[in-house]
Amino acid sequence: MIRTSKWIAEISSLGFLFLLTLFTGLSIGVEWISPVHFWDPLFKNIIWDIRWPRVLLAIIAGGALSVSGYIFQIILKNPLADPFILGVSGAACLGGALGFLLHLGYPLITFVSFLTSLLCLGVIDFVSRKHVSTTSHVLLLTGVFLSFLFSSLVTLCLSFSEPFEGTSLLFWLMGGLSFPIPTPMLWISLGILFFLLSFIYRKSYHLHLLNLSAIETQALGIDALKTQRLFFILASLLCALTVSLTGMIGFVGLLVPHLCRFLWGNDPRRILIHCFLVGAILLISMDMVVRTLFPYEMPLGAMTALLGAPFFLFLLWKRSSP
Amino acid sequence: MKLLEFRNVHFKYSGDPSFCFKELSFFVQEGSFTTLLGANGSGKSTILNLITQFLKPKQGDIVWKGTPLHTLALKQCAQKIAFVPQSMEFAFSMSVFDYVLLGRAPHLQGLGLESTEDHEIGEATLSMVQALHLKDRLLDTLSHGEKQKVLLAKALCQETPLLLLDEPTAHLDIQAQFEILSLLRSIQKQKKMTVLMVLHQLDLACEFSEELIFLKSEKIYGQGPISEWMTTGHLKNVYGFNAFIDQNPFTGKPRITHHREEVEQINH
Amino acid sequence: MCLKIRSLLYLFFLCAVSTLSATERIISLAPDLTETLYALSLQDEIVAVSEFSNFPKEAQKKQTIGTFMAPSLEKILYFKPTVIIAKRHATPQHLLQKLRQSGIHLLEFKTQHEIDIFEMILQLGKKFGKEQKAKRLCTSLKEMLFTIQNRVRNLEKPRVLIQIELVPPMFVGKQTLLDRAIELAGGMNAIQHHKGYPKLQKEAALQLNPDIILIPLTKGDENKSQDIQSSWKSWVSVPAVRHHRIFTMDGDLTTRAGPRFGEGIAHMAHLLHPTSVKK
Repeated sequence: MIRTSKWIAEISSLGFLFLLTLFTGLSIGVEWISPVHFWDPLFKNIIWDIRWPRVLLAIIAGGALSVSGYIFQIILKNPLADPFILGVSGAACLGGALGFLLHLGYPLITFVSFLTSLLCLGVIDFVSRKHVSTTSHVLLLTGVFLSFLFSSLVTLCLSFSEPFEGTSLLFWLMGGLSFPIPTPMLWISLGILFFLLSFIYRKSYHLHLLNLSAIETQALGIDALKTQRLFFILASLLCALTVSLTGMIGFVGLLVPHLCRFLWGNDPRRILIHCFLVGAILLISMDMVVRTLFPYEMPLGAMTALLGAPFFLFLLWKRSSP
Repeated sequence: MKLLEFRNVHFKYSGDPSFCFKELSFFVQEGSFTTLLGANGSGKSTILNLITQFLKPKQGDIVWKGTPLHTLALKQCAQKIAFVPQSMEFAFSMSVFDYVLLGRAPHLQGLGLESTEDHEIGEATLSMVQALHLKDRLLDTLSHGEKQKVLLAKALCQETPLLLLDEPTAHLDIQAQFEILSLLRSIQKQKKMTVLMVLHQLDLACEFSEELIFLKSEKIYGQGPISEWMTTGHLKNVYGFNAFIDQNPFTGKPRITHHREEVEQINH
Repeated sequence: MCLKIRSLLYLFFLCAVSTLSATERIISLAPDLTETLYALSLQDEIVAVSEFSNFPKEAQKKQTIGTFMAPSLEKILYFKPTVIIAKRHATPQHLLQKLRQSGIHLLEFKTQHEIDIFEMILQLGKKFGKEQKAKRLCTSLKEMLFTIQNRVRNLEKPRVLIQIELVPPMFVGKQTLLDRAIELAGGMNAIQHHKGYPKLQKEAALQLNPDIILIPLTKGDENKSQDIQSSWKSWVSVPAVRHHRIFTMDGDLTTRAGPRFGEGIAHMAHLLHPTSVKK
């Protein structure tokens, strides 16, 4: 049940917070640049060539990972699920590792990484079609073990790499927003993201119905297994897109859905947009804080976990206490 | 009139070669309250799964008033058949009212935004099952009895002619068992619905339903009115246990007592 | 009689010395160490080297035992070395521990300063009886460095930024050999407040305002240097970009702490002061 006026108020305030964070993200950095000077020839390059791509990547990664995590938590019926639980992100990492080993240029690494994850997605989908299961156990276990397989292959790649190559690859794997993605690629990714999100949103009622057991969903007129498979593909595409652009930024996909559910309930028709905005806001803010505190490039993936885990534990303990 | 009919249905589980339906045929009479009875593993839940089309028969048809179900869209089927599962399963908790509104899915399009009418139907079904006071409670705070009522309300929201129930009394204490079945019975009479229920308790089956279908080792043993089919002979054949059957002095319905073989009684 | 005994003794002594030196089995765990050993004419004693030991050419024919950051313990032991030469901060510590435990003589050298290079050459010379050659090598190296220093002494020191990696953006900071190389070549490291190899954000790197950006190049890295160069292209506020002074330099010459260090400095000095220092 969606009280429209309340929903519009929530979206508006989140949207406002989002824009505020966006502008702050552009202004804050090694030095503060007020929005008035955004087009000043002196600061123009810093704003639009350094900070703007980072903010865009934060929006793509934060938003995509949050929505992907939300979907995985429902279709796997597991509150601990996050976008990286199934092997697709591992495959993306493997693709990236191979790209680094083969000395490919940067945009190509992203492309190869995305391709390998699509391949993995195809394999998992094919397997799940053959072994139709009424529970999500088969899907979950297939994904978890594929994940192990890929991460061990990535470790192998690391051991074969030349000294400084290994550092590069490790840094990429740790996740961050500083990778030199060419601007056209960013805009294409944003386009893909919005296409996927609008498709997901149009089907969000079916996602809501997947909260029930498979047979109940079927009895309500939705092909449970087909819908589960569809959402698995959509969520994996979101994850693959993000990992190929930014490496593994963990925790956002786990934390944001829980946070949104805690604040606004569990109806995807309502909170999918909330998830996207909160994820984007969170990642822009975290990146903003990290790059202002240190002049170094820090692995954002590690920082999100460092900051997110205590907060999440606090939330969990608060809710469980009598 | 035959509302739902199984015509020569063949079914096998791909992972379990021992289980097999061969030429399974039976029907559910329109307006009846039928109980599906049988020993464990005889295939009762499988039949329900086949009706909801969660499982598909290898051969044969499941027919709704003459039209095979598989020729209809899933949504249309959902407007004809509602299913009440044994227990409440959900990925993440929500309010009872939101949960019950999920039952309106077969009547909604697109984003499934419920109208005032849908809200009214939700409230009406909750009051029908005497659970309107639970409207804003969260699902994980409900007792088993309350959960069963909510499950029933959700299915009733679908406004279907046929209602399927899989062991509605499974997790309930004796009082709650009576309550839910009484509610079911009165709603069925009021709305002139057809009910097909899987149940283990024979007494309750006799008390609340009129027809029964006996399933034995993946075959239809027989079906018909309770007065004809609830006999010691049939019970011995289907369940393999000895029953003494007399009349419940309050309701006049058959009352079944289990006895050990040593004590022989003459049954009528 | 006396003469016979003396000549016998002398012969015996010669044999002993020659067999002593002939039985040394050396493994080098870094390419620069390999180069030094070759320069001291110890090539016959080398049984194995680390990968990428590509200078001199003959060294490429030697057996390898893995990269200098991940050498294989088994392979090392297989060659039954008598001495292992390692580079501090490069060879993993746990491996060095194991090697020490196995009783093999381990020589470890740090290479953060040119003085370290001289000490290393002299120590190796002393250890393997090549003191004269070592002394000569040191002297010629010192002379080369001195010549270059003279040439650039009175020239203005440009601010030099050396970028070794794009992702993460890694630069050369203080207390490294490349930092000393910049100073010897007549420049000033643009990074004065970070040690080692800091991974600076682009914004922080921009604030350094370098006059020259150098990118050490090794074989197979052409793509990387292209990427690094294009990552600076749009920043015309930076003097190095404005005056088109972003150069690649021979990575092997300039980053190796070995006999060719002088050549590396000369190479760098030419890039820093093209008119004053000819190739």
